[in-house]
Amino acid sequence: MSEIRDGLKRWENSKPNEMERFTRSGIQVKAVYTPLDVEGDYMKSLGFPGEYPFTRGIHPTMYRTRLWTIREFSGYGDAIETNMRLKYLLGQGETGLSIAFDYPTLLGMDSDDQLARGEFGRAGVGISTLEDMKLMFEGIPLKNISTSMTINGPAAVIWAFYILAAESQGAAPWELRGTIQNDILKEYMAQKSFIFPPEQSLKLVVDTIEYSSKYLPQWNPISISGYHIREAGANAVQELAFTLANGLTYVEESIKRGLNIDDFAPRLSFFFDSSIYFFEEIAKFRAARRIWAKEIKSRYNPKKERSMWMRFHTQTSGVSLTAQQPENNIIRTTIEAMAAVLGGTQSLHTNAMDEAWALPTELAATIALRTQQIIADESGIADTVDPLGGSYYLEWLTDEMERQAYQYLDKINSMGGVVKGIRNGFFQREIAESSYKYQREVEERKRVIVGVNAYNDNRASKIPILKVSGRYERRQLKRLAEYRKNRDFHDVSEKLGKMQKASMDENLMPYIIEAARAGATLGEIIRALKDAWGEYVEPVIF
Amino acid sequence: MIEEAISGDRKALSRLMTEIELGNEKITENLLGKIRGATVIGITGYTGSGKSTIISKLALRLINKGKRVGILCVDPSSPASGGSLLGDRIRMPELSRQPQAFIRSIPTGGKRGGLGYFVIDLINAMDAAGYDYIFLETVGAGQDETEIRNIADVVVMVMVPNLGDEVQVIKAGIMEVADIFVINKADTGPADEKERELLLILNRDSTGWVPQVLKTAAINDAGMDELMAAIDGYLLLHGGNQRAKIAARLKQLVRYHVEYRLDRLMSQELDSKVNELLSGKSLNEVVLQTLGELAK
Amino acid sequence: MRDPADNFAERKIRVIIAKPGLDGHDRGAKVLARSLMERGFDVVYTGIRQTPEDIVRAAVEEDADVIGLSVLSGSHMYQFRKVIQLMKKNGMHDVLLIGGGIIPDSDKSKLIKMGVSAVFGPGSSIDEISTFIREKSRRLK
Repeated sequence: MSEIRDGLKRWENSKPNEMERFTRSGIQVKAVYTPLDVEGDYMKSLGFPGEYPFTRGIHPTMYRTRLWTIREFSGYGDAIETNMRLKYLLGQGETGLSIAFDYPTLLGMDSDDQLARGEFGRAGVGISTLEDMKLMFEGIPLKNISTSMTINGPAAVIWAFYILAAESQGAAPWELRGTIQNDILKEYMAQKSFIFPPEQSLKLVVDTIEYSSKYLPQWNPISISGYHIREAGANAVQELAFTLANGLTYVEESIKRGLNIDDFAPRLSFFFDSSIYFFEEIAKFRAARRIWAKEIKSRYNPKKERSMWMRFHTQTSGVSLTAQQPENNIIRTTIEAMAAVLGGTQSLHTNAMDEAWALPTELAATIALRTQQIIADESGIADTVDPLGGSYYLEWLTDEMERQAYQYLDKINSMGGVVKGIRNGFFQREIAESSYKYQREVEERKRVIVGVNAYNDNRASKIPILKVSGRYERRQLKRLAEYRKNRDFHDVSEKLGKMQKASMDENLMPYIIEAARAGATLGEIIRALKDAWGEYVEPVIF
Repeated sequence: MIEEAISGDRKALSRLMTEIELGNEKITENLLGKIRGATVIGITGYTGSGKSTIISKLALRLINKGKRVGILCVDPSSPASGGSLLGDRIRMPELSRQPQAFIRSIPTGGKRGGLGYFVIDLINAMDAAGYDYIFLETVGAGQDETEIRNIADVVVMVMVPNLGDEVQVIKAGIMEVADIFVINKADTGPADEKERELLLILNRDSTGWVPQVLKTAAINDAGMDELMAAIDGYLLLHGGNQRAKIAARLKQLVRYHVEYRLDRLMSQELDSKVNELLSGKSLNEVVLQTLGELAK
Repeated sequence: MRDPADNFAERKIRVIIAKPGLDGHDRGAKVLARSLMERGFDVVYTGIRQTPEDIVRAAVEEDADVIGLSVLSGSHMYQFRKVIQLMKKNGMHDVLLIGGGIIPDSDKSKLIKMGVSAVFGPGSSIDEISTFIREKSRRLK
């Protein structure tokens, strides 16, 4: 070691002067890293994959045994149209379904709601009823497929529709595999598709975790997300810290509910961003696994190893893509996908090149899919577990990110926790500051974005854009009007009333399922809860 | 334009207010004759105390009683750039959708700070246009406080249990800051303590009114009826004091317009004035000369 | 960054930044609001989930010189159409209407034909936007 120390001194004195370099979250990067940067205990900080603290991966042989799930986010127009796109992707080799919903659905509104005007089917598929859900999965056996649904505020209701749709196909709840995003805390921080106030929303999330632990043992009732926090402007360290803080809050609330850690922790899943600054992302994933395992172990002392696993889905960063020279986005997505694989993700969505313009065309979506297949089958990256483990730079960076994340976690703790932080605007402020700083750096050209503030050409791009036809909306409104007529409204009202009464004291899932079964629409169920709980108005922070 | 505004044309009122902001003194003169006597309620307090929520809840009550309510939100302009982030109306979504409400933001402007030069003229415009109540929302730091006392018929100061050195400010006896004190978000901290502190140091005013202290949680509508009642009570008790109030407001109006003309003159002439000083005239001479220019 | 023509009692150019519709992605809108403020504009940010009626009403009350709409949900044609209708109804022909967000080129040209003065896509610089506003808005200062 002392030989290295001397060598380093000599080397530093003889090298030319150069510019300082920083990761995107502001961590200074040296010219070279050596064993001196990583003095530590291999077994304690890394260990073997599949063993505590899981830094190198949660499974012993990772992709050698089973590849990550290729799960491309899809959905637009109405259920019938999305059903066709899903079948197409399954035919092309996708191994798991991932559904995007339109804005009205995300906010718990029916497609014929006043405020839904102009929004139907544009950002994803519009689902208002159980019938819509059944149509979306018509011919797709839910027993045999894993489905991830990106829905938050009304997640419990959409989940109820899914469970009932599966039931009508002959699949029992315990056979169902999939995830609902259902992470309401990050909505207040970043994505802003909240509905109710934080306290009640949190209660509903714990209801779903509890229900899932009892009746859907193969289901992940929550996907604790950093992606949206990152895309809203947070840097990698903030993404890491805030996501972990949210996760720990859900765990704490579930424990308070009386659940045993081993009954639900194994089914908590996470969702991270993978951005363009390659090594920082890989370090982030590894630090995340290690911190989660440490915290769960020290706080709750679980009996099952699985309770300490951080299983996560990754999406390559949308915000890193450019509208100018969109073909460049294929390269960006490739780099980001590689970072996710090198970071040990369990499933991956790669963005299409036209993401900055519109929802992806079939061609763009196919290229995104092929990107993953080439990494998996041609590059050899998946042939060994955690191939970059042991890199002096990477191990140092992983440690550094963990250290900085802990600083945030301590701060959040001393503030009184996540909900307090949300109410007094802490997270929103941090995110607004980071996004403002980023914009300044781009404008001052301290941060280069190829094709935008450097290497511009004024070439107009001629890539085809997906157009969402107005006929989907017309079709939906027609069916919805029919649907409203053909049900026992008395029964629906009764079930909704029962649900309202139980809203704060009991687990709502059974009530929501009964209301859905009776034919209540998404909007009706959410409105009934809004009446009971109120609507949330956010404090605006710049 | 004034006639249209008076007849209820919202756009005309808005344009009228812009003219006032641009320093159109003919208009401000004209408006003086059209005032109907709206009640001005000043709401002051640090950012985050919940002023906007409180204004919203009170205004909605007044609207329910058939009144028309104007809201003026004063926000500081950046001393560096002169621009401003007018972020108060965003905190009153329900109120901003009421046709009987009219919300306008007032940046304080680069030069003056405080409440800007034309706040009273803007109030007069809303008054003339038929608004029965006008809320004046300010951040309440330093200068603002004396001015608002001269302008509003009643001043409410909003605080929160944990933050703020308002009590120190009041203790220092710098001014009788407000007529009604509200400890908002009372459920989030030691509200009782703060209430006690305040009650210890507040004194009666000349009419015998002891400033009231109320605990509220505006976001849940808690304490809003009581606050409305306290405001009504104050206005009733001080109704006989109308003349003094009008006099104070007019005096403030005159002061604002004098300051406006002086500042405008000085910004144009400052360089030459300083040069004159340097060229040998005495300070007294230069000052007198400047005042003379004002009178032209 | 003070306005060079530092006249007195001048009103700064007043800009409304709004997010019509249900999309909650406010990062761009907020960064723009703050940046414009630092360049000497008076900026009203109306927040998320605004209807076209909300936005135009605010523009009337504030006597805004510019309305900027940020839409990332794909509903831009509908939102802009509605806002333009309401602006016409309120006689706001001299108010500048600009847009930003996720709007494909083909729709951009349609919007310009409808009366939108400019659409600033992803990657537009704040300088571009603020220069455009200064040059084109009705307030000549």
